[in-house]
Amino acid sequence: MNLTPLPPSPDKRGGDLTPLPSQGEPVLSLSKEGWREGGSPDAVVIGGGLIGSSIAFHLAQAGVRTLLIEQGDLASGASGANFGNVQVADTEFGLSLELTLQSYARFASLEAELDCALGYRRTGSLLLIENERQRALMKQRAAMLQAAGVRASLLTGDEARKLEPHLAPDSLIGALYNCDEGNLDPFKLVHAYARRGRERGLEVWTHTPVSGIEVREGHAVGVATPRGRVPAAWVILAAGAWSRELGRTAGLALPVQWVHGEALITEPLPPTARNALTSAVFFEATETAQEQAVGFCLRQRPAGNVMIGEAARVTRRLSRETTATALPAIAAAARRRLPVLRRAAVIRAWGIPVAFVPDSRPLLGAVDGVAGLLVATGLKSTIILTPLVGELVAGMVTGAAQDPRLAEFSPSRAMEEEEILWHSPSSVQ
Amino acid sequence: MPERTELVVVGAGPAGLAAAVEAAGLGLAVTLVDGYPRPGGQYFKQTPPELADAAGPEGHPTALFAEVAQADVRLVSDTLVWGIFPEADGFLICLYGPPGTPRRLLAQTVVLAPGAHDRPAPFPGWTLPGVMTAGAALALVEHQRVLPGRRVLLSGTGPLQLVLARHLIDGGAEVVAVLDANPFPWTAWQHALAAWGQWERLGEGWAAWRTMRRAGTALRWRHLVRRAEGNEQVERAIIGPVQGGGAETVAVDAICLGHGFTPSVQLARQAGCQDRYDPDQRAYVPVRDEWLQTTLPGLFVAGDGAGIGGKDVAQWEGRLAALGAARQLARAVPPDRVAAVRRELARQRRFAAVLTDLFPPSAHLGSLLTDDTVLCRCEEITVGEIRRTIDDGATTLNAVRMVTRAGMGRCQGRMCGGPVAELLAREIGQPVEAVGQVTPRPPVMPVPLEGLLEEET
Amino acid sequence: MFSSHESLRIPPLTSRLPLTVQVDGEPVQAFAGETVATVLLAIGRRTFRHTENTHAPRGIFCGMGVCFDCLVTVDGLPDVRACVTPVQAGMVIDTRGGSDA
Repeated sequence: MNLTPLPPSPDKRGGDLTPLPSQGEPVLSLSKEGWREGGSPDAVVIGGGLIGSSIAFHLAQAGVRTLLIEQGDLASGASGANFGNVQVADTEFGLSLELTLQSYARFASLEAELDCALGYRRTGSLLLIENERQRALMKQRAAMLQAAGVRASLLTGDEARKLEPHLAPDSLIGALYNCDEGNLDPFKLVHAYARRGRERGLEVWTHTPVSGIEVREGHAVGVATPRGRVPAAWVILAAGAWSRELGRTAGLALPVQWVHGEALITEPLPPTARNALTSAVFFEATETAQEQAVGFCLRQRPAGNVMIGEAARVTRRLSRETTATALPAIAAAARRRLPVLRRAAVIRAWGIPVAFVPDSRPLLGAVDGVAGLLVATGLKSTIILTPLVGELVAGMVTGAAQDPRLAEFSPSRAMEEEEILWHSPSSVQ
Repeated sequence: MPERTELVVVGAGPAGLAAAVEAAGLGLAVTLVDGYPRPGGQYFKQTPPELADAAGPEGHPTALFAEVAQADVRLVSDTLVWGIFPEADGFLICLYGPPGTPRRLLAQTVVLAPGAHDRPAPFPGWTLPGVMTAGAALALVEHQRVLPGRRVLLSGTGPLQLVLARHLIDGGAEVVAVLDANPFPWTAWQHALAAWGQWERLGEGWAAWRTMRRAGTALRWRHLVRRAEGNEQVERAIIGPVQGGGAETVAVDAICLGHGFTPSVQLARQAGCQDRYDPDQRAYVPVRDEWLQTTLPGLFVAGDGAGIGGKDVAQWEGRLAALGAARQLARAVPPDRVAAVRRELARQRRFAAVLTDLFPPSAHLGSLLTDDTVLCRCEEITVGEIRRTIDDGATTLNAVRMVTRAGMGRCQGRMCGGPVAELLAREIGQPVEAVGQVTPRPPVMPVPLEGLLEEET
Repeated sequence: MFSSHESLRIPPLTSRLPLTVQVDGEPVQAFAGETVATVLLAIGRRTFRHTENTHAPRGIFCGMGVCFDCLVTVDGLPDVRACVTPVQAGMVIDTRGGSDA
């Protein structure tokens, strides 16, 4: 394999990339073929979800010797527990919106780029408005989206029901409609990145929980795993809700928090909803810093199954549990809005921690004080940002020119962490 | 607020009925929840009263029905338990049943007696209408008094096939052949002869054998069905020896698959009980202590749902679990009763072990699978799709499931979970227990959306 | 009325209580105590539905309500398990994938 040498990193004092001296434990030797022969990776990506797999793919594509490490199966965290929505309308404004639109533009050709079927379809989305306060917020949002060139429009209740006739008349007074939003199968996206990455030399370890990020003299120098220590010049933390604890092992207090989201899925049904449906209550809640709310989002899969979420709560526990309280709450919310679903058979439910950042901006980029450590987590709408963030972070490793405005996403920015704001639903969609 | 009760027994087969009777006898407040309109489960399945006059030659009378009727047991029939959630003051049991059925019960203790279902044995064409489990065919003939077909082929292992053949012949069907994938169990028969008390149990097998002889039905050892063919339903079966060539085609309109049973462990797993892989059962079974208590204190599992042992083991396990629940509730448990139940259970388990020895589950039939064989019947996922995922690096059942959606359909993986795990394990050269299991999720069976609500509305 | 496959029922039928149901729009004789699956089998109907993805035929398989293959539409309610659903007089059974959901 023809390897592109790494440009010297500006963050690396001395640029010393030699492996660590052994400290009693064996230093893992990646000795199979290609770059693995007797060597170690240049970059370790922690977290085999959407963001981690995209970063790993883009690094491999740039010729960086990369190892992707995942504690379970690929896409077994929030990346596999979401609805697959590629959504624009709920983005934060400013730089987030700009990046969201840039990344969105890539979806039309993503299947061709990866040469993999991802199930991508543009179906449209509706943010369901239930009261005047939500209408005011959505009106503002519509105007800002339109100004950015998004084909979003504010609909009356009747107009929304023309698009989705199964919506109960008394369940909404209007909706924010975006005809360009779509969805895909997030598992397929993660696996496509992994497959195409492997073809470019990417090594993937699943069922390997990283126990710590090793830092020496202000440099990230590798990670510790049950399979041994892996020295690496770059460590990229993209572990979603699990990033907080992993950050701690590198001496960082990352402001990653999470909600426990739950969702259920019905058996295949006749066409019930074409658009992805989401309650605007999430935006209202952001404004009022509510801690507990039963939101609502729904999408019908191409096979006909209807996915409905979520009853989410801020929690300190990292759990995949489904609860006796969330399932009836989701059922009640769904029946109220789409009475046609009342007899639809529910075949499965799931729960997952979903990371968010209290100031609603992602943690993206280098951290102060630990050279060679990059963080990429806490994105609001993960799927839509997946292609772009993978490329951005890979560029941080290869020394590509960076947009200076990305500093606003610095994982080391000042933040009042106690201010737990209600999260956007988008991260679970 | 959910209704409170001391003991909820889930499943009214032999284990559940016996547990309820034993517990009521000790003075416990017992609610027995069952998914079918009439109690009995599969072993004691009751013929609907309207068809009873025409019922088959052997019903399954059990004194337990009368005992339950006389005992102070609240029976909740036709009701699904879709989830069990451990809480601080007991187990929240989520139910869905006909109007008027409570939707929630808070139980201090629980005995799960979920039973088992036929072990799925995939082969090309097994989704064609007319191909069904031996259990399905037996229920049709015995309790619905209808034949599954006119020309019926039986393929599988073990004594149930002979019983089914007899019922089919008596009901007027032509049984084309009975294929048993195992060799004739000469060695095990010798063990059986040495085991006191086996004669009665083998009696039904001998009666079946005589019926088959009279009807001229061939019993062919080391043979199995390799492929089912047909357009809208099964029309032909390709049969042959387990190893080697010599396939032949027979015209049939039904194929019954009798490959033994596999425990229904979904509810125990969903509740959070630890389990372990039992290679003899070729299945995961809940970890239990000497009282049949799981790793969740207060939650017990009895009967085939903890490993196939048959109806007699199930009944005595049910009684022991009830004693364990009473003990957990700090009730006085008569030591001589405990000793007697343990003694009888040990005796029944010895018999069951001999039967398992006689009729072991056949080795996996993986060599029959072709890339276009459907493994996941619900999501229609083929062997080829699963193999591609394995080529892409999947090493666990969960990984295969997430990428292919095998096991994500209505049956929650009851049909394909075992076969997919065995295929995966074979392909990557690992033991089955190394590929893991799918994460258990409520509802353990499909429930209408509004059935999840805490109150009927 | 369908009658050609009456003989799949195991006699005697004399003591059974007849009732009439509809199968795909046609009146069909059934007997009290029978399941929907039994009635379909008795009239020679093996295929109860076709699958969503590949339109493959399916019928009764597990016979105890766990495999969800034998789904039919009963009185407008789709995806009812034929093997565990007793027939009622006047019941409307549809195997053509019709549903009002």
